[in-house]
Amino acid sequence: MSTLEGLATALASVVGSAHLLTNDAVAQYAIDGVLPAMVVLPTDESQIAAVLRLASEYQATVFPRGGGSHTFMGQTPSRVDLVLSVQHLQRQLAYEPADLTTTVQAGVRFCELQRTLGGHGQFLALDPPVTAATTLGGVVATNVSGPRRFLYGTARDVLLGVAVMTMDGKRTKAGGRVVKNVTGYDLNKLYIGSLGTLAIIVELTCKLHPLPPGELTLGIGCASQADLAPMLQTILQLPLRLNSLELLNATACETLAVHADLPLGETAYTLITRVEGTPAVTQSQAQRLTEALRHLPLTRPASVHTWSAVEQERLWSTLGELTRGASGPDAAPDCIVVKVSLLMSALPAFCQDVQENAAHFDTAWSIVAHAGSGIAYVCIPVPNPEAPDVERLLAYLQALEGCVTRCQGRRVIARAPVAVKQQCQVWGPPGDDFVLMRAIKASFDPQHRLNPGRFLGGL
Amino acid sequence: MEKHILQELAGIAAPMPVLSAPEEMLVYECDGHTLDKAPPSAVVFPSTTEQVVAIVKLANKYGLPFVARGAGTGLSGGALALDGGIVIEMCRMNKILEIDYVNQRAVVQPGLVNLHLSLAVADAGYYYAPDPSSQGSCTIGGNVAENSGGPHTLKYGVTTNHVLGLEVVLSDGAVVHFGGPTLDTPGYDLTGLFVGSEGTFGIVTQVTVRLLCKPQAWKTVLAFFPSVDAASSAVSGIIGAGIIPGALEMMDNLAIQAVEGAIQAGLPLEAGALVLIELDGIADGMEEDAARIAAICQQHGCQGIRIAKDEAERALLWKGRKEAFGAVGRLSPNYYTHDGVIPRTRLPEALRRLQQISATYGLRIANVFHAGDGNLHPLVLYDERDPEEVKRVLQAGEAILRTCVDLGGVLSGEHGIGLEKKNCMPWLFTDDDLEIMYRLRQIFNPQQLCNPGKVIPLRGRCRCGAVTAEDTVTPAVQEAVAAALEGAHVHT
Repeated sequence: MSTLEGLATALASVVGSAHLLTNDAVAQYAIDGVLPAMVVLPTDESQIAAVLRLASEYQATVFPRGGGSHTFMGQTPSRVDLVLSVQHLQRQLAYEPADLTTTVQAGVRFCELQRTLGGHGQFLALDPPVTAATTLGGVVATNVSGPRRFLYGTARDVLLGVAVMTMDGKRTKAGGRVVKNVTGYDLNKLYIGSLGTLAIIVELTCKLHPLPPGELTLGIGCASQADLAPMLQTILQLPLRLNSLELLNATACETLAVHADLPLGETAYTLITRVEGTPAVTQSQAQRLTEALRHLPLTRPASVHTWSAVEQERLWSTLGELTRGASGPDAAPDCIVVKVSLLMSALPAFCQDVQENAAHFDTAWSIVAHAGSGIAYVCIPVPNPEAPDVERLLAYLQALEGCVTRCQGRRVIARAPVAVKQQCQVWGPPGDDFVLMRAIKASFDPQHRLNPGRFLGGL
Repeated sequence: MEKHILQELAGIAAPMPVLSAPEEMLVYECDGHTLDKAPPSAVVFPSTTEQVVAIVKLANKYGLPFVARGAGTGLSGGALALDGGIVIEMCRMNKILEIDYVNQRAVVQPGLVNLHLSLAVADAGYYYAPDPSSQGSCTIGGNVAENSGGPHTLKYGVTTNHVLGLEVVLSDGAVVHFGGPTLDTPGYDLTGLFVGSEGTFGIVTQVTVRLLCKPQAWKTVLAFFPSVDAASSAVSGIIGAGIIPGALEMMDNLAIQAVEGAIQAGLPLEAGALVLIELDGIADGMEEDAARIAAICQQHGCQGIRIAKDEAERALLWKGRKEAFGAVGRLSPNYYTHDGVIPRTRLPEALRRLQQISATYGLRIANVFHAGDGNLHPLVLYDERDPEEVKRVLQAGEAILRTCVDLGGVLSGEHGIGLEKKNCMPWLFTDDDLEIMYRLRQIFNPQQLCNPGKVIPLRGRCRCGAVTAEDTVTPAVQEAVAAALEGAHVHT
């Protein structure tokens, strides 16, 4: 009996054979096309602890998984022994609406949780692109975010407490269930975005927000490159309660118009912004915004459009999908998505540079940016995704890298065909703090078994 | 301290003198937490990152512990130099290095006084949001170490939500950079891990912070209630209605009397509690929200409401809150400030139990606190000249913290654990939880020279007899970490 067969037998006795997948059943759990030897679906924390102890004992590599909506992130693994899914841990353990906090198991479905909270007029202020399967544990482990981060921040601004299971099968916790806490080191921050390389997140406590009484989305057409910077600056300094400010180039706008089936302008850029408040308040904000733009000395006047409530919803959900690489989780990506962090002021020049580079290659790249946060997603289409022209794509990426460097930004290749990823450092080069990161990884996972080789610098 | 070490220190920090005379050490023997005292062996005032590096390397050479200190306003003994360590006083590094309004950021040195940053950017319409009550004297570096809060953190978050990047001198003198001016830096969020590490992970020498546009409008409301219970239910009612004010503060009767005695703001002395509510943000809709708040207060038995008509009146309403701690000082020679947090819905119960504790130990307790986020500040009044009373103060303090933990809360909301509460950590955390924290500290601070003896209770030092972490780190882990650090040193 091979080691892995031995592990399978031992795991089956822990979780029951129905919760251990082998052979053909593992296909949908492949990571970048690498099939796992087995998939285990524990139903409680003690099973997770036992699974991790067994994995250590059998020297197996472990790949934590939530709903699988973002497994495309990170470097391609060389070998996948065991996928550990937390999708069966989906209880809401505590919810006291008056405290604006909730405690849930890591496998709680993100969308279902939002529905529960919505029933009490509240929400978890994260809006990453998700699927029905996306779990809260996955959202935190990948630190994905969406347009609302402009007002509400990211996972680091809402996570209050966390419990994890480390490779030795020990459960530890950090933080608490209260909204303000400096009791002990802030390990919440360490687990957020650690891509499952330190421990398995099993329980999360989050701060909640009241749902805004209303929202209004405005699309603002910007016809010329020269007008982009003054428009952005003006909008950001107006007294508005903006929760989102997205910038799309014409290519992105065109895709959005098609996918969301919405009439959108054909200007060089489109800003899509959303204000919140009661209907009277959102109306007066929209007026103020329109007024301010009218008084700006622009080379060409800005156009402002609004949409019906149904259209607004479709617009925002489609927009999120653009930043995730539109095709489904199982399909070969039909575009490369590069997430770029830069100073907000560098955004207009960056957009211009990127578009010029794309034009040079006789292609068009779409840009969707959280303009108020300096985060831009550049999507490079991949013709013939099943057999991509790797050399060509690498040349594109190299050109894009140049744009990022010129704007003193940083980039992460969020999604790309495996053959491309294998020739890139998807997270970019580590900084002078990598010393500490490597030591932290070693301290949590000395045998390097948790999601090995997938994160920054091979963490 | 040996003379030649003092001379070496003086050489590093010249022309600033190095202090070491016993009488000079008195100022540095404690911070705002005055119950524990420990004189340092020397105090040195660096002016640059390079000098901090040189001091840290010198301390390593002689195996001397050291601690960075800002304004010394901390309330948990975090800036105490235990074991005769060196105090590295950061007040000379107080410059604003860069202000970038377009990107709403500033880069500052750690010794900069919190309020001075907001004042420097005020004319341009910006401010730095975390506003501890000591903001007129506390430093940004100290705020980073303690992850400080303040009244407006209910809506705007604490220090960690406003720090984007750090330059840090590690315990061996290496300089590293966490985060940066841009967001979502790939890799582990060491900025987030470092903020709130209470000076035990290294010394911060540069901070990149977020600046916010000043709110367009404010509405400050003061509401009086017959009892703390009524006031608490009004607080819950406001939050439950979906209104998150910029600040939501409460004072009980004893605190009201102290404040009124000190500043004569016209507060009703018979009120059981007052709630200070501040809406801020855009002007649109603010009147409506204020009216809703007033109605909610009325529903919960409010006896009177005052709404600030102008900036001067707003300042007056806030003056009472910001100076409440000082005002309580009029009631007794000393007071001990606690900082427990409870879920907001448990406020009435918590305050009832505080009254019982007050009666049990025969000590007066005034409450001035951040009601919106359940962060209590019971001030236990005493006289330090009465050793019997001091003993009861410590017992009452323990009972207060136990109450917070019992009600699902934590030991500290914004003052930190430091020396003061480290022995209570096992009430909340298991040995395994503490071991992970200890391991992280070992990575940043392997020789434990950088602010030793804080945050985590260690075997042999633990008054409550808890089993603790340091010997339980397995050899395999120690080796792996050592290898990672070793490899890294070659790498740099």
